[in-house]
Amino acid sequence: MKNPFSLNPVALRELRQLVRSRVVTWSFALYPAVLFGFTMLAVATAMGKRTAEDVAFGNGIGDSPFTMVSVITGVVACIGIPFYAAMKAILDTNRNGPGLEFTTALTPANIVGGRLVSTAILTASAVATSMPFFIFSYLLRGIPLENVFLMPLALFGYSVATFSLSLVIACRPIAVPLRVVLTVMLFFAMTFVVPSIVSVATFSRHSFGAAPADEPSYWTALLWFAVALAALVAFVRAFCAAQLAPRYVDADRPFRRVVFALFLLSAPVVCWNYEAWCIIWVVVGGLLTITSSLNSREMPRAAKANAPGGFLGRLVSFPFATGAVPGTLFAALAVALAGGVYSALEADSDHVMTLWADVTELLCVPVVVGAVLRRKKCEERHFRLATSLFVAYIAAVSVLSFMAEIDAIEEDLVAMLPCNFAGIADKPGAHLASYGLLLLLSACVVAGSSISAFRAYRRPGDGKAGGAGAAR
Amino acid sequence: MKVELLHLTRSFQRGFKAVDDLSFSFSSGEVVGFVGPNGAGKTTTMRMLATLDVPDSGDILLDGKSILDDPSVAHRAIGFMPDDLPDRADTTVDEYLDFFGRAYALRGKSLADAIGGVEDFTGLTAFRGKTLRELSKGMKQRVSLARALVHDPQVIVMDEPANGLDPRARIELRELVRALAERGKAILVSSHILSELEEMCTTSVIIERGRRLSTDFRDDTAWIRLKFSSAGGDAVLAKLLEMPEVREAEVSGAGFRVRVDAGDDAAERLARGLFARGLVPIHFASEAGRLEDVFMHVTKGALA
Repeated sequence: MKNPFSLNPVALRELRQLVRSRVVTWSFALYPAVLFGFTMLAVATAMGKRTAEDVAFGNGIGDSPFTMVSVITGVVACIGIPFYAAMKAILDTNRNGPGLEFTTALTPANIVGGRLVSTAILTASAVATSMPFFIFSYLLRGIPLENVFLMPLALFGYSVATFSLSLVIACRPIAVPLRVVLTVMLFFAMTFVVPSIVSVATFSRHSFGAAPADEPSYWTALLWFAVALAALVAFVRAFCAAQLAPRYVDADRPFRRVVFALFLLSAPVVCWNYEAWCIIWVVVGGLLTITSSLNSREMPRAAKANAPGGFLGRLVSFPFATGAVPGTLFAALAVALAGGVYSALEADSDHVMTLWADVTELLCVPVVVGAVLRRKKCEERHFRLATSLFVAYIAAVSVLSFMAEIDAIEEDLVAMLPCNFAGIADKPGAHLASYGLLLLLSACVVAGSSISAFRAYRRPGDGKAGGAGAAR
Repeated sequence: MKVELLHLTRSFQRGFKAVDDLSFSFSSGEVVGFVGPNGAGKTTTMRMLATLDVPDSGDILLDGKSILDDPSVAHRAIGFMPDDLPDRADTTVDEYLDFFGRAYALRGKSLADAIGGVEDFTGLTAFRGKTLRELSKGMKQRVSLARALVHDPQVIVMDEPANGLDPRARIELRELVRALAERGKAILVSSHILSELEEMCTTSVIIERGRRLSTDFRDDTAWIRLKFSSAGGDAVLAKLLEMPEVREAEVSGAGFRVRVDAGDDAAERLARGLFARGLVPIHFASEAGRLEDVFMHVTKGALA
């Protein structure tokens, strides 16, 4: 029986290598010395700037060393360690195909998860090294106690998030130099983010005498940050596993399950911010559709092999079990439509209706592009050409209409919008023509694409389309 | 265990077919030599067998179960030794094998026993604490073999295992392969050193441009090289062709090559027949390189 507490073999291997790495060993040896030196420097500077008033009111000087320790820890934890781990991941995946660990009993998700765990442990070690200096700052007064713990947690979280993002680049099947350039760009961008992380310290500076715990928004933000981080790690783990796995393995399926789970879990956000929720899922769904459409082996043999026997079972499992069209996209489309209709019926809000129209427009483009890309593999040339022209027309109308609305809104000419829902009750036919037809045509293309994929989604050997290599 | 490769096809960009409708099978106890010129599709086939690549069509069955439908079947049953050496330079032999043992879900005593067993079998016990950086190429090949064996697979796939090894290491590797076959493993091994394959393999598969050309080099005959002190090549050749033991004879350099039935008995009959006809050979040796003959005969060398 598998021991649930046994360390992931990949994590164990990475940690063993880290221990042997001279760069890591020396860095960890010098790190406390650097922290000590800069903290003392900050303390000396703060003492030098201390006024008679500060002394009289008993103001502490912990603020300055706290910021200094935060910045150094931030640079190491949010840039240094993830960058090192990302470069290592890029070099480790510099092979012509998957590594030997994919021939073992480890799943692709185990392999990616091992890297995430080992980097998280390394980051935790760096942050733990900084803890005495954070506590020292607290002892100098001027820092709320919560910040001494929240700052390391925030830095740890950002570090994991940064490495997760860099792992997405490291796992892409593109040339190593390009991956390195993209990673460097990512970390260059992160150098601008680190100061914002340290702004937590700034927050504390402005709240002398009032602990952040008193601020509900502080804890709410922290909760959202933790949830978003967990969602990001789950998403990246599944996505990278799908990227790295040999196409033998039906690696996309666990990924789709994770995406669908995140989609469902994020549903309550609709109550607070319908617009953001829709746009995020439209973008995610569109990217997934295009990615899956570009994949030359979008329906792994294993997916077909595990397909349910019955028609109904296959129909239900099809969007989520195959790479045909991500099920999340269907769900996003359905929820976007349902949300829009609900808002129209209940609130009669022109704003929501306009938003609904924008979302559906945005939704059309990736869905249709993805559907056309997918059809390229299974349709005759003249049909592909006709479909492409049709889609180009829809895309152009969508984009132009969307841009026209933006311009009109900016110029406060809402009433002149050709497709605006303001006054929908007066001109229902015009709105139906604008959006209803657009959606209907898009849905037809998606449905056609899905049906052709569904026909191939059956067990190998079940009929003509099920043989090895069919429907690739 | 029976391994069946059925009509495998694998294409790469621009329609290049690395493997084209390739089929063959082998079973426990067999050592199959997988031979072909550079670019013939050997490594691609082996990678597909190891689940590192996917065929466009065709199937691979292990005891009737498709590894395309369930790759975990292959993960348990196949040990793959690729042609490149282990690249974790700062890792010790023990740690390297420990990782793969854990990756195959071995833990505790079974893991320790497995590592100890393969280290002992491959002669790595004295090197277990050394890092891979400190090992010679031959020792790294042993580590690679030990890695492929750590989960006690029933099928072993070895891609150019003797590549770059010195003569001693090659002989030792050959002995290891033989020992594995005696343990009942099904072994597929590719190599460019055909004479060595001939010595260790029970059968062979020759491919070129992804297609199978020949399956077996082991027929019921053998070539023997002869040299006589006397001159008169044509007369000697005529006498040789008259002998009932000789199936085929030809002039080869300063001597002759004759094809007789395989086995020591046939060679002995040939020697007696030569003496009986007054032909006293000063050189009498069975000729190695039958596989080379078959290889040169069936391949066109277009890709070599």
